[in-house]
Amino acid sequence: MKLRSYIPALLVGTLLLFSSCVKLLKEDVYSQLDPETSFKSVNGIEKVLFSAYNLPEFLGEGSYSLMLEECTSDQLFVTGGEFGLDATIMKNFSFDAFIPSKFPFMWAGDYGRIRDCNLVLENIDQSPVDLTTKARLIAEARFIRAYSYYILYERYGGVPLRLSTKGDLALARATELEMQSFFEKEFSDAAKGLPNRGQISGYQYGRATKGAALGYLCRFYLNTKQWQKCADIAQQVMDLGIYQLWPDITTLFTVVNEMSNKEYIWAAPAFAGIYDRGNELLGGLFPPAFSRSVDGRVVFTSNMLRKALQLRVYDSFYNSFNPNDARKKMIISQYINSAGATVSLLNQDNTRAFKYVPDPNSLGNSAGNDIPIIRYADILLSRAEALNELSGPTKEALDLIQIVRNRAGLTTPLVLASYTKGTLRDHILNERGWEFYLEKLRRQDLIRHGKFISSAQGRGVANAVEYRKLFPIPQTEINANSLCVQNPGY
Amino acid sequence: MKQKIFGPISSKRFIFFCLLQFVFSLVSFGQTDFIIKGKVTNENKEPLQGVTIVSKENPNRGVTSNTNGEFSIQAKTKDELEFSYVGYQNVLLKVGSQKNISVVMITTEVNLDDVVVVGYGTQKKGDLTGAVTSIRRKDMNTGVNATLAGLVQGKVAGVQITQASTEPGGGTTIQIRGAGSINAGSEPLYVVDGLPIETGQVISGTGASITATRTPRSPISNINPSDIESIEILKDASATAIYGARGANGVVLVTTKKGSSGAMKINYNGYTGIQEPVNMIEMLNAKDYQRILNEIQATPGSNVTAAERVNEIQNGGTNWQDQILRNAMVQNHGLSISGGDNKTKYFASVNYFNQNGVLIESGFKRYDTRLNLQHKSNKFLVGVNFATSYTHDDFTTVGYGVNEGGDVLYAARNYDPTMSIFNSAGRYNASSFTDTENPLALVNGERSKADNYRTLGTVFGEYTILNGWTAKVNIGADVRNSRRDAYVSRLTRDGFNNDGIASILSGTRNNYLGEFTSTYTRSLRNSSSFTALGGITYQKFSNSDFSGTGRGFPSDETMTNNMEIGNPALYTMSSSKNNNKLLSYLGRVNYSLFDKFFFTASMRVDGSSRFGVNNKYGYFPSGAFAWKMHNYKFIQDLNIFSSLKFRASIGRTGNESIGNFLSITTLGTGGVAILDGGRVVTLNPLRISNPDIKWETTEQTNVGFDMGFFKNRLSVSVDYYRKSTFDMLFALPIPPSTGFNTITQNIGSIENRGFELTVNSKNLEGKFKWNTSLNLSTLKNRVTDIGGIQQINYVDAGWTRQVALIKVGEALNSFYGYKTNGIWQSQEEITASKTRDPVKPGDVRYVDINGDNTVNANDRVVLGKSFPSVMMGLTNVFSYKNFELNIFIDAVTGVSMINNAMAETYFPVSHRRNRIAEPYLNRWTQANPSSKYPSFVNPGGQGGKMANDLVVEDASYIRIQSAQINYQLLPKNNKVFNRINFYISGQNLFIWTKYRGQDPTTNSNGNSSLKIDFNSYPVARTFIFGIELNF
Repeated sequence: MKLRSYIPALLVGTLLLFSSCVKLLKEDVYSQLDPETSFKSVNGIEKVLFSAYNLPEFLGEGSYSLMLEECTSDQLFVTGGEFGLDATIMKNFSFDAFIPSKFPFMWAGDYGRIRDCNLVLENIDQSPVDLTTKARLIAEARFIRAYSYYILYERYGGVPLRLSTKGDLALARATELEMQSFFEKEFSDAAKGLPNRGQISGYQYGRATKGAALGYLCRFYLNTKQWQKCADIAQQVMDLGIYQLWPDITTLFTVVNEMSNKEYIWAAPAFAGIYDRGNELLGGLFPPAFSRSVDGRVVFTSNMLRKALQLRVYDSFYNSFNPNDARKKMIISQYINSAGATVSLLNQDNTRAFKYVPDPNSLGNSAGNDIPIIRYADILLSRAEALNELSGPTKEALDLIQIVRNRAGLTTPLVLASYTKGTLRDHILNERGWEFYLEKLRRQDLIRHGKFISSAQGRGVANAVEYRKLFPIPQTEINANSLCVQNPGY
Repeated sequence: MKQKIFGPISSKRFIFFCLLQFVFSLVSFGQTDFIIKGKVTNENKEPLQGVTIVSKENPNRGVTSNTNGEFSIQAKTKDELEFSYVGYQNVLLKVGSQKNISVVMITTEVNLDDVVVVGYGTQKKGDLTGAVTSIRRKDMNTGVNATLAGLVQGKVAGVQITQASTEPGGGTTIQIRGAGSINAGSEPLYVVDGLPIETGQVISGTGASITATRTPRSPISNINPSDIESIEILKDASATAIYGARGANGVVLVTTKKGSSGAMKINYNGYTGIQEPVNMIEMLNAKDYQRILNEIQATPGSNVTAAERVNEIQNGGTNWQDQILRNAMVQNHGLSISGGDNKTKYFASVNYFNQNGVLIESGFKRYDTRLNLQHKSNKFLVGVNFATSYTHDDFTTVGYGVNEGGDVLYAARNYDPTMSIFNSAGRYNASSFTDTENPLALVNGERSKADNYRTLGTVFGEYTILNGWTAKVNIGADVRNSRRDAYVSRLTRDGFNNDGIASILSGTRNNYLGEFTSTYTRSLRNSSSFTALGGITYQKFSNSDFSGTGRGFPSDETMTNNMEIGNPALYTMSSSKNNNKLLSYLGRVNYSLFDKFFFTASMRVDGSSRFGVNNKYGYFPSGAFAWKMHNYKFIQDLNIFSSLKFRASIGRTGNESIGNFLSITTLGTGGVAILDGGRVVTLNPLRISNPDIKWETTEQTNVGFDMGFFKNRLSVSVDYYRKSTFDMLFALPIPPSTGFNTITQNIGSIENRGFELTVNSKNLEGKFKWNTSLNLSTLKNRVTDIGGIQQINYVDAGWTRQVALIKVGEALNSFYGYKTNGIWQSQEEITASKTRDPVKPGDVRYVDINGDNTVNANDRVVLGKSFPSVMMGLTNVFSYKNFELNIFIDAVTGVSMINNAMAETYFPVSHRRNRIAEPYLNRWTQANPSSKYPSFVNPGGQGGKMANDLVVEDASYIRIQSAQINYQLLPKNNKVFNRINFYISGQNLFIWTKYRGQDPTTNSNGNSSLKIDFNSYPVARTFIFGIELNF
């Protein structure tokens, strides 16, 4: 048959036509980068490190960590907005491994930074950076990694400790001991490798410094009650001679003073506007139809937004201040509304903690007020607390406390004779409350003082039981990581 | 690698030759009595080559005619010879004493209704082995249909077409026989005149500070529906496997109108009409809002302070929904010419379509033209199908934003009804209680427009090598360009704060096709025939985009037209470029035996650039069998069936819409970090790569009967199918502690199965005619494996979090949330229940499923599913003399949807937001304790439990979808008109439903396997008047 000769000819012909099909099916990449080449430049490795500087203080509206660290405690609560719905779950202690859905979101964010740091540490040897820069980049990566793990540790206890991007997907939680020795080593080593503030020109504000690493080491020793070490490290920070309190607490949290003050040891720089990295806490502080505070310190302008969330202060906390305390005056108890009338917020658990003075150049809900992560006042009070625990009330401890009180306008010194170790301990907890409200330290402080659960029970929270000191590991991790065991109780 | 490339060819060649051997062995040569010689020609006296000539007496004798149409065969005088040739009527000839005969064969009158388009060819309807539904022009939906999906909505059993957005040019989603994928696409493949097109968006994104949407405008809206002659929906594997790795979600074949020989025909079709918004949700009016909100504020237990009391109603208040809605105009004008002769046929059209939306400032315009041309010359057939269009979109924001980022409808439903539109300064009034934008400021302050260009066409040449053997080259291209300009002016707060925000987004998206196919057809004796098809195709898809934004303009005057005068510090830009490629080999054999048994086998081999290096090629075979049973005596004796056919098929198809780059590791732009008070660019690893990544595979079996009764006046088709998708492309959750949340793997499976019934009946014939078509289908969708993961809980809609559940044994994306059991009526009831949750009388009573005295995430249950259990479409056409009435009703049952407006009513995020009226007018109070609606005194007191059975609502419905009356004039002696047809058509005329949102048929989620009504674009009732003229 003639037919038969056609078919093979045809097939061979078309085959030749498509013989280059191996190339035809190669996947072309035009707008993403090959890791092999990216890590071989200083710019590339630095950009991966910068990804880890995408700090959790900006995880979302008003920063979700606020609902975990403050809304479970005795100072603040939220009743409006979607934030309010989740914050109510936190306030009621009815959180679980699924809900609020911010848990897995924040968990993944922390581990995303850890992954970036691990990538930097694994690939830096390929990069043509000079040795000094290399040592610093390594210290930065180790610090941000340890800082991220510390956030996790403080919320969940021991967590899977991933120090490499390789290895099995399933990983058991590290023990308490492993976590502690990790933090001690990482923060100490990072402190050695990091520059002091202002030491290197061009080293941007917001990047890790020696002070930040020591500050975190101090915080770690404080919360794990390693008092002597805590006191020593606090002293070391003081001896750096770089940091001091800003003279006026009421102007500390303003945009104009945030880069020049010597009190912020480490802060998350905020940017008002287009990049979703603004301080988004302020819109939720405005009470309904807020126009300005009676003292004129806080003014609402049309470039700002009044958000639904309504971050409110318990009257019990508001009333616990000394009436002359400047820190109390930062909490607004009455305001002028848009109709020009004066509205009182007193006696309805509704005063507003305007620690931050709203950035006059806010864009909508996004303000440029940087978010302090460690302040010098924290170092002073940490040393005071450690000293009291080590040897009871001493003049040195009281003097440290007094530095903070003086700045708040409470110049009458505390009387050494009137304190026992226990009452000074209580005073320090209160002093920290007055000093650090809204700064996401309250839950840690209450836990350290053994009052986290009892104070919630005192507020009538029926679900507040001992195991809820630690949050549940997010279900997303439990589902996919067969070696990760849930915290007891959940 | 070489092995891989040659492998598919060899196997195809092997099959091809086996089948050829089989065929030729049937054609054997018999013994001689005497020799007859002759010649076969067609009507035009052209010789026919390849005609089969068989002796009736001795069926083993058979020959074929040569190139000159000549043949010689041995026969007896008594013998009869049968001449058969594809496309021609068989000829039966008594031999007698003639020794030299000439035979003229006459072409079969091809009734278009009897031919259906299938992948890479056509087939006689009666010979189909697969489940293919063919919708002709006359059976398509009437009224305004901006896209081709609207033409067949509700018309095909097993096909769910959802109007994702009813905005002009809005998107539709088509789901054929359920959904078989979690993370890959679930849309079918569209093939327009032989060119598989892509439905991806040219531009993704809406522009800076413009609410993002999940239902972008339809990517097929620029194909003019009135140019379409037929739409074939390929459903089972026998029909779709020829499309291999793109066939798993079914295939929609679109065939445009072609010319036919005869005098030039001119057709004008124009209509104009009006659309009105209907069934809008009723929000609280100003007076009720003031009264009820103040009552709630004054109730002990409320978190609302006196500062939020509603003190005044400005100028009688404002119904914001009324302010943003309108009755909108729609019109269409189309002109086409067609005609041709024996050799050349042409069809050309121009069309103008303009639809305004019921939401003010929204609209869609299309200008398009088409030329379909075909020329036959001896052995060559060449042709071109070519269309080009320009569409213009006017957008009013529709999307998923909340608060100040919410869309227009969101703002209108949430905004304070006691406020007047303007303040005393003449500016849009801004509430000092909420962050939501004034709805009218949004409508007028956000200008967003797009211009889209699409040119789509194929050029083909077919050469007849031998009679019955053709080779065809088909070259096609689909070129799309879009540019979108969005400007947020100072009328909005956002625009005011930023001194204007301008965005320009532009993109191109192209696909090129090169295809070679060859078909061999041969008629055999005893009414048997054989067709074989083989081919190679290569298609490349590419897209690129560029976008830039600017802020800080001296005035709103220049909008997006002079971006360089903005603030340089705030410019942003982005760009990207991607492509993917598909190289395929295909083959199919159809064999029909005695016109009783029909066999189809097909195979496609697809190689894709998206597949991992370890899995570059996928193989997709299918086999099918059909049996025409009505010619058997035992069936005829039953005296029931006028026709009866059994069909069965099995096969595999794939889904390769899995996204690019899954098999390689890359770094991309990471989250923003701020250092030194400014932004630094960051890099992030984008995924854990999977070099094994490949297509999803769907294995489908189908059995069906096609039955005719009463001389085929009643025809019934029944199908049962079972589709099981495995190696599902699945974003498998991995421990988030790795820094990644998922790794994309081929793991897990989903099953869809169901019955489909199609009935066509000519109830009455004669002067008064009544035809009914009914289609009915059931669907059961079930997740059967998700790689050992317990369950996945995801998808947010506004504040309603984690609404969808993926769990083995449940339907994909089942609704997941809390059950409620009325309202807590008294403190005694609360105490008796021992609940530890802080509830008060008047609060919603959530069911404590696990009995641990607190309601938390562990008490969530499945609340419903997005797949209707039963779908129905019913068309009745009545005609009398010149009148015709066409009524189309559709219905679904067993389906739910999230009513997000209801979620926001139960959980208002701030006191001064407006809510749906009914629950608040009938709320629980001490004096009037409702058992249905809570008191709303502390709506968030139990935390966010928005996904609950009060919010997930039954979305079943019965709807009179359209009705049309035609009046036709056929003037006998008019020199101008051959035919004049007037028509009045109405759409969305009436709906019966329990759903409390605006309309149960919409789905603003853009994913048909999860129904969410998040302020869906308002559905309109439409009336049009039209006229059609034939010259």
